Amino acid sequence: MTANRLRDGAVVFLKDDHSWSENLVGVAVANDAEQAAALQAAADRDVAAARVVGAYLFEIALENGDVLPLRYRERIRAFGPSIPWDRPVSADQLSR
Amino acid sequence: MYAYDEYDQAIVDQRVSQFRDQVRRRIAGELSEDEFRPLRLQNGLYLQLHAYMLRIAVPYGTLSSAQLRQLGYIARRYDRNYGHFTTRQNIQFNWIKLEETPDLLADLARVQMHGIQTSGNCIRNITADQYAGAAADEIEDGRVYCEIMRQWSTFHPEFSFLPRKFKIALTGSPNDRAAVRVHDIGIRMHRNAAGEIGFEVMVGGGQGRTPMIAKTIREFLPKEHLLSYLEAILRVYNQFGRRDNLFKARIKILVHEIGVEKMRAAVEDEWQQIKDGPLVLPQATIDAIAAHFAPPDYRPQAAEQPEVERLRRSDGEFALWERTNLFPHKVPGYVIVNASLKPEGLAPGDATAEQMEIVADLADRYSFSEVRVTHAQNLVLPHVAVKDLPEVWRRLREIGFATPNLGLITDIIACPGLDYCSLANARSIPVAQRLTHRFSDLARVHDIGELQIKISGCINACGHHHVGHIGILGVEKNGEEFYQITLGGSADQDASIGTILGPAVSSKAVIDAVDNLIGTYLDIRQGRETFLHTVRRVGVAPFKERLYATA
Ligand code: HEM
Ligand code: SF4
Repeated sequence: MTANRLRDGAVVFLKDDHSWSENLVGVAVANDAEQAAALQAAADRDVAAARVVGAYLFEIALENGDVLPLRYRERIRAFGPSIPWDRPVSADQLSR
Repeated sequence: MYAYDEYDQAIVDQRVSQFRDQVRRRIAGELSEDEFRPLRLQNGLYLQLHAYMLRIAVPYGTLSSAQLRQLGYIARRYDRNYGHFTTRQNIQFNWIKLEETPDLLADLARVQMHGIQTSGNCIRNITADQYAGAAADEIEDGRVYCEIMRQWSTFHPEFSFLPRKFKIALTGSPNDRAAVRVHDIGIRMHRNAAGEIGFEVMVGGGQGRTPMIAKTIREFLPKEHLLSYLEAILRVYNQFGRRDNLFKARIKILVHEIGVEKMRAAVEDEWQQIKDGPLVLPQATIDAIAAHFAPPDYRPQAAEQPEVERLRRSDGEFALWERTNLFPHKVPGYVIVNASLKPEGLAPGDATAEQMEIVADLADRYSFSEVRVTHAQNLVLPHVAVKDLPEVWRRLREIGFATPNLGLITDIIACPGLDYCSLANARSIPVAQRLTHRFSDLARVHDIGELQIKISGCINACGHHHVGHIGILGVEKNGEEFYQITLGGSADQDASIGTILGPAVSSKAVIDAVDNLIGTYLDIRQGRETFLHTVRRVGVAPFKERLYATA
């Protein structure tokens, strides 16, 4: 289950305790329709509470216990663009 | 340059404070996303794959150095230190936080910029020839009319809820650098038999899933009637354009369905009723706007420039750069300099805060504080004295913006694609990067000559693939990235839509496929014929045969 955090747009994933995490470590996994519906309901509550937007479920594989999104799109969403995308500001520029 | 009057500034400032309140209410949960979405889109704020994305208009591609410097500041302060110049003379920031957006918009408004008209079913930011006001080949500075249209179209009550978005482009030169034939309305300035300057008006062009070349609806429109005629077109569209089907709502579909004759007649009917009304443009109004675009204070220049001569002879790279990245200026002793945002291995159109600031500094020192943004995702210093070329070249080279590749195979247009865009099927930028690595040998690049590769990550065609000499469209097949190749598209005055070559090729094979097409061209070209001319002469068959023979 993923969404964007309302305040800053960050990609987030629902954990078992229904908090949202910025990475895939320990995220909630649904194994059947019933569990999926439960996750959706939890996410919808946070959508209604203006915490996150655009919540949806996506397919994953479990590899050695790690969650790996199946579709390429979801991988890019989870891990960032496939090209260099973070161009940190150096201290000397910040001081300008 | 056009400077906002009090009225312009007041509405932009008012927009910012309205939006500040809307964001506050959204975060407090008083507005739902459904209520808030149209409000944020009206200010150019999208929600993309990774974060919010802000699209900022650069009307008719003209920026002051102060504006560019401010964009650099925004990149550093609110984003991850870079921005992306797009094919619509906009800039997009990819990593924006909703809660910071009101402050960002206030910072933008300080330099008279905003994200209005960059989204929604309104008349979008009007685009123009990036060399307007400078090019040797132009008839008149088209920005004057773009500005007139901007004032007419911004918040036009009748045209804020059109059936679909509406894009207008204008060129003041016979050599179309604004791709006017693939816009909803394309306008070309020209002289009629009597020697008067007016507009050829074309309608119904577009890209997306149904690409079409605009048809001429009026050969010659006198200047004073520009707005009334456009208003007539928009009214016909507003009345008859299809609102029932999103995919059929653009004016191109209307023109296609009823035919250009009927369209012309309907527009003519409407026009006759409003032609001589309040929309007539008196010469005084045109002159008042034109005064904002008065030429800068050019200085007489010596005919001989020994230092430039010397560098030209001693440095092959400079000579190559001069050959490709400059364009003739209308004033002797000056040239137009293109800064190529297509260095090897980087994302086409991306610029960091430092790069923006250095280009802004160069503009202050060497180009009367003016910068232009091109639909090919490059930047332009429009008025550089020939004597300053060595220094400008050195500084651009230091920041990686002096690759001598303008209009050549590595001057690739690419949309953000799957790396950033939530609508994408496949990535665009990495394909562009791999192509620049494959074609990194400048001698070879120059031997191949004029060639435009354009890449889109889905059928919306933001990367103009339909009108690329070689077009590359990302598709998804069984969860894998594939690319469909088209040949023979063109966006200039002889615009054409490319022909699909055959089955899409895998991501792994796509670079070899382009190389293969180039091989065919080099083997069969006649004399100095360009790639596009070769494709037009022989058709796609020889290219197709060789490409799929090896597959
Ligand atoms: C990342 C967010 C973007 C979204 C959601 C988006 C969405 C779309 C859509 C839905 C269309 C199809 C319109 C139609 O056929 O009616 C389209 C067309 C187009 N977009 Fe984008 N786009 C995005 C980014 C861009 C960028 C980065 C550029 C410039 C590089 C761009 C320039 C264009 C152009 C030139 C067209 C085709 C012209 C036409 O409207 O017919 N867009 N876009
Ligand atoms: S062409 Fe498709 S993938 Fe590329 S920016 Fe447009 S909508 Fe996104």
